[in-house]
Amino acid sequence: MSSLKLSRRSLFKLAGAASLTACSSRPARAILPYVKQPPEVIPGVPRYYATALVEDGFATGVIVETHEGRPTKLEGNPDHPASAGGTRAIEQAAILGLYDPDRLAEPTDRGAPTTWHAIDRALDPKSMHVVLEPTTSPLVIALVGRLRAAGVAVSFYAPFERRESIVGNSTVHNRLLQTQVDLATADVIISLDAELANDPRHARALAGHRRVVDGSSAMSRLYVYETGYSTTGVVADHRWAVRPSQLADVARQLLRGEGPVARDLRRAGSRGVVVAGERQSAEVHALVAQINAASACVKYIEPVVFEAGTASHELPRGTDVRTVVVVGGNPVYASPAFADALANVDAAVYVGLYANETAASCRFAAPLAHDLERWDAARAADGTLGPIQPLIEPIFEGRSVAQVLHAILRDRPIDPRDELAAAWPAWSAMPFDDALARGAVGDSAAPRVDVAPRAAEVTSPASTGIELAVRPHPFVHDGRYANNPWLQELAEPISKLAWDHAAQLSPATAALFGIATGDIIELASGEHGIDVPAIVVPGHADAAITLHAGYGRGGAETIARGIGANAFVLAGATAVTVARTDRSATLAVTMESPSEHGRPVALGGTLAQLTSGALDLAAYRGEQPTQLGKLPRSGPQWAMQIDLTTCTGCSACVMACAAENNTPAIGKRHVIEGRDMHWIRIDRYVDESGTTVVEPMTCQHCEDAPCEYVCPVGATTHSPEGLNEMAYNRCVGTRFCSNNCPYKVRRFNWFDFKTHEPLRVLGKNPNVTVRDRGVMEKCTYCVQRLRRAEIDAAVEHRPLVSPQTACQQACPSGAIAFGTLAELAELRARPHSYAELHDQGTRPRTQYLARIRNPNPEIAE
Amino acid sequence: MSDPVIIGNPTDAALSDQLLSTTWVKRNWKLAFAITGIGTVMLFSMVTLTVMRGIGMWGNNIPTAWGFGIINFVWWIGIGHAGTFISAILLVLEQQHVRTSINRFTEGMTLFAVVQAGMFPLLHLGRPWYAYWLFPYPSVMGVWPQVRSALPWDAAAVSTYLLVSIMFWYLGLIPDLAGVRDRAPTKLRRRIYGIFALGWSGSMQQWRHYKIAYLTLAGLATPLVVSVHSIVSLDFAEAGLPGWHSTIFPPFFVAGAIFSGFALVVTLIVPARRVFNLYNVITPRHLDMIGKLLLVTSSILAYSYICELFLAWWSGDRFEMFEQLRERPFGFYAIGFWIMITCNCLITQLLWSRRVRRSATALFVLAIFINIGMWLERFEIIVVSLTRDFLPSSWHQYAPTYVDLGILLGTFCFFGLLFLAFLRLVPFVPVAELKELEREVAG
Repeated sequence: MSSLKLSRRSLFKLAGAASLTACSSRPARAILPYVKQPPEVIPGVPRYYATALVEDGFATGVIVETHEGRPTKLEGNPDHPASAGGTRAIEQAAILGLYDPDRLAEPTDRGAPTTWHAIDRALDPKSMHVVLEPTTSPLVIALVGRLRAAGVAVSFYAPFERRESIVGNSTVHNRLLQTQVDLATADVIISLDAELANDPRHARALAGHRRVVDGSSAMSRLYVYETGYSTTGVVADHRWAVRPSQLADVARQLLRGEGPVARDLRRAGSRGVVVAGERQSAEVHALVAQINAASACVKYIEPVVFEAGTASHELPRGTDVRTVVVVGGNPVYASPAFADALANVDAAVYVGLYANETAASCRFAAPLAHDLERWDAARAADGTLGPIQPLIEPIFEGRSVAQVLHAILRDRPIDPRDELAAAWPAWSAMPFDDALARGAVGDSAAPRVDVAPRAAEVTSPASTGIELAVRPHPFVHDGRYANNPWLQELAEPISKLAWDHAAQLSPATAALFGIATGDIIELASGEHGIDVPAIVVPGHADAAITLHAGYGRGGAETIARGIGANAFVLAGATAVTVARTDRSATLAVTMESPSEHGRPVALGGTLAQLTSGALDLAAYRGEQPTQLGKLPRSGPQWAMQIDLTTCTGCSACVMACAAENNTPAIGKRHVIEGRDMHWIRIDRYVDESGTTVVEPMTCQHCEDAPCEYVCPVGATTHSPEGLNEMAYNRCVGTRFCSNNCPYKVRRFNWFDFKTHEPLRVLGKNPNVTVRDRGVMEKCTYCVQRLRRAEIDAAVEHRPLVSPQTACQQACPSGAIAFGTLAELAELRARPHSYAELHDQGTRPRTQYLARIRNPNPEIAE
Repeated sequence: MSDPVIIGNPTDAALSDQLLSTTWVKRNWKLAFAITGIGTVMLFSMVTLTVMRGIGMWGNNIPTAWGFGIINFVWWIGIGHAGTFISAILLVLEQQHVRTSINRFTEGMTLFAVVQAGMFPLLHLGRPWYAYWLFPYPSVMGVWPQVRSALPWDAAAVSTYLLVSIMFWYLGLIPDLAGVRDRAPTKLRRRIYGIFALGWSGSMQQWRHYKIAYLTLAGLATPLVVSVHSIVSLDFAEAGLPGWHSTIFPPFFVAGAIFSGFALVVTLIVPARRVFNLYNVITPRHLDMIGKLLLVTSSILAYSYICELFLAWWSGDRFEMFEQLRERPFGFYAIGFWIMITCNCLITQLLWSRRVRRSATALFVLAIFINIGMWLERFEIIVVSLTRDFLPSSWHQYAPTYVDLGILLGTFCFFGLLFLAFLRLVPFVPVAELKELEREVAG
């Protein structure tokens, strides 16, 4: 016995443990605290990893902040061309999508729980059709090749993928080509319903050439022709609202060189460019390809999406297969007829993130891994390759697309990281680990294809009646983000509609039909029709209706379900009939008054006024007499400068702030009641002509803050660094501070708004207090980032480097500058710099640069 | 001396019989108590709901962070002013002959109105359980209220007012409580009233001390009439909000408070006079005096309204002009403004007529209108200013919820309940003082 040294107690312990192990259906796995802490994990210190989020095949590079293994915040990856450091609101809200308790949690068989193993057995590759989302992943493309070799039909589907531009180019260039536009060097840009501002790459390039430096620099000129009012229209120098069918005429006019716009384009020579929107017809794209013949801002590349523009990008209609596997997407929602095709097969399998409409039409439904849970690789729109690495083990039993395809091929299980690492050298010379660290392979963009465009006469059908433009929603897209409460609560930038779906139409069209905002109207084309509330949007094209897709969802997602109507029902129609019903709905419009009421709020002028010195807003900034005593100052004096020239109103900052500062989504009812919790909002003002301007509004950190002297308990105070601070624990909730805030940027916890959902809690930023019921809150200039920067500088014995605030970091246009007063002194002294409500004597630390437009002198206002 | 303040020439015993009997003569109380009791239960249900779920149960939002809660607070606290005005100021000014028969009554009204008012600053807090942070108590953390804000002063003023009102009211009651004790029909009642009478025997020495104490308290209470509502007005005037930022607020608010307080005095005294057959002690002379006061304060209000409009225009400030000249008279809530003007300034012009002033019915109807008008005045000041401030982007409409309405209605009932209990349990016409007055006018 002495050699074994096993006491009686130890024996029983082991026996007990062994029996427990035997009882468990799965092998027991120990969870242990760190005995020896891994050197890369320091509790409380976030780590950052590069990966990418994929939408319709295209990757957007992101840097993910993780706290002890939990992703909490996404930032744009400056090394990734699709991001260049900025993001859209969608990427900022992706954290909430990851921690969504509505996600498909386990494989199901007709709704009953089953196992992946059971699904794998049902997958018969002999007579199978696989429907994937459009892909740029070399890993998936290789597997698709193997599947096809094995006799499996593979097609790709997404309702809003880039297709028409590629087909249009083929008319002019005789081959399928993808248009790549670089706006950074463009002097004259003409947008034909293109969503430039909602693409971080374009937004950054556009802003780079429109930022006014010292009033002497050249500024590009942006003309926008569009149907609905987009964020691109907001930054336009000239904007015309046209019906969808008129865009071809506009393109033809530009091709012929008629009119002042075409003359301006011709004068710009190779530095002029026309960009047509992805929702435009192939004919318009063909015309634009001809106009752009002389442009140096356009290059053509092989389509980045696999087989883009070919017949494989159609949904299968036939029912000659026994098994259909749909991986990702939601084709039954976007193309309701596809449900019939699924109904006629022996086994339909859906692998996706949610129990959506497609899942309901399939016998099997199984969870797909979220982008933050899987290994893969994907290309940006310009072809740049980047890896996708998981930041967290799949929260549910999700598999990646590649894993699903491997299962169909009956491959032996392979570690997905090893698989990617092994395949990587074939795609890129950059070592795999370097690529993981950077998130993108430099110089891997698709090479230019030299083409000589030929003149091609294109015809477009004339349209009559009320034209319909079905567009992806800027935040919900094609409905895939509809279950994200942050994105639902984010007001659409122009109509300011949150949590709701409405048909946009112009005031004149509304008057014609006697429709007011909130009236429910019936839109019909042929036998298809939907009922949807109307919203009147000044600046919308007359005799046209813009309808966003992504609503009218009928899946099991609790947030997405039951809002609005499915626009895809009318997607094929170009014209609709409009009928008023006698019903109406209360819409959650976050801004009641669209007008500035003649007040000097969002100031602006023209480039000519600025360069000639006619525009000087000195009367709107600087010292004001005050009775309040000077407060002590010490340390860095923080300040912010927001450039209204480059701000598009895309609202990425709003979402970034919500993600950084743990602000809750509160639901439609509370938004209607005026209780939204966003610390930064995008103010929108419309003038008599329908021109819309936007102005981000957040706590101005007044030096003479009206909120501070009215607080009875001293819960809001001034820091020596110039921050207007909130001590949540001290707040009793009199709300006097909000009443006395001229900017109304303070937000109150009317109820216990914080989430109690265990999964959602994982996404909270641990460095920011989650506020309780009954206390006031507001923008802090991301004080947690300031403190972190100050501590790091102190620890490393180096001068402080001003950190970025969350809104600033997310802004794809770089419209927000943040730093010390000294760093921003030059910006603050620009002639077009002004303090909002300067006459109130608040002396805000946040100042604005007035919106400068560069109109064509040939065109009368 | 035009009209009598006591009609007839009753003896002490007759006055005692008439005025002390209200505490034990059974009348049809049950229905009145049931209605107000149910309303009070509803009030506290709504209060419980608010405290449990959050202040979001009310219609408040951003920008309208103050709504019904503060409107009701200002309205009730304003009403409370009439009592002290009648009791204290008229006593200090030696105007006993017009105050004596109604002072106890109005003191009770003050007290109960302040109880209603006092609930709102507590309830409207996001975290009412920390309301004591507004008071300068010696915290071990060394934190004190932030005294540049009007709110700690407000808390101090209202709580002082409540305490002084209770003391003044109770001190005035002592001789009459002794009177009730002495005439109580049962032993138990004699005991209870005896405890509250604090051993009053009516000796000369007691009277001497009592008179000095009462007058001193009246002297203390007198500045409160001016200070409480002045400080309440600073809750608004201190802010930079268009429609609030005004230096005329303190006198304007005090005049409005006395105006609304006297209106409620009329609302209560006219039915009481009828039910208890008090025509001999609450005479047309009293009504006439109240009518004149209503007319004076109404004129001050009218002047203040004109001042506000004029100063908005004179200031040239676009935000003030928008608020005062456009939004209040012609905006979303314009109907409230015009009802307010009608109730507070136009129909009060009827009081120039002596017949109207001396008609209990006419005065009662007028008083109801004034109560409505004064509530709407606070609505105009608070809600209309907040819904339309500087940046049009933050404008948002305000609408009360069922909880707001329930609480407002509930305070009427709770006030009624307290007042009924007051009428039922204590002599509400000061018998001792009335006897004194009777001697004075007879002699």
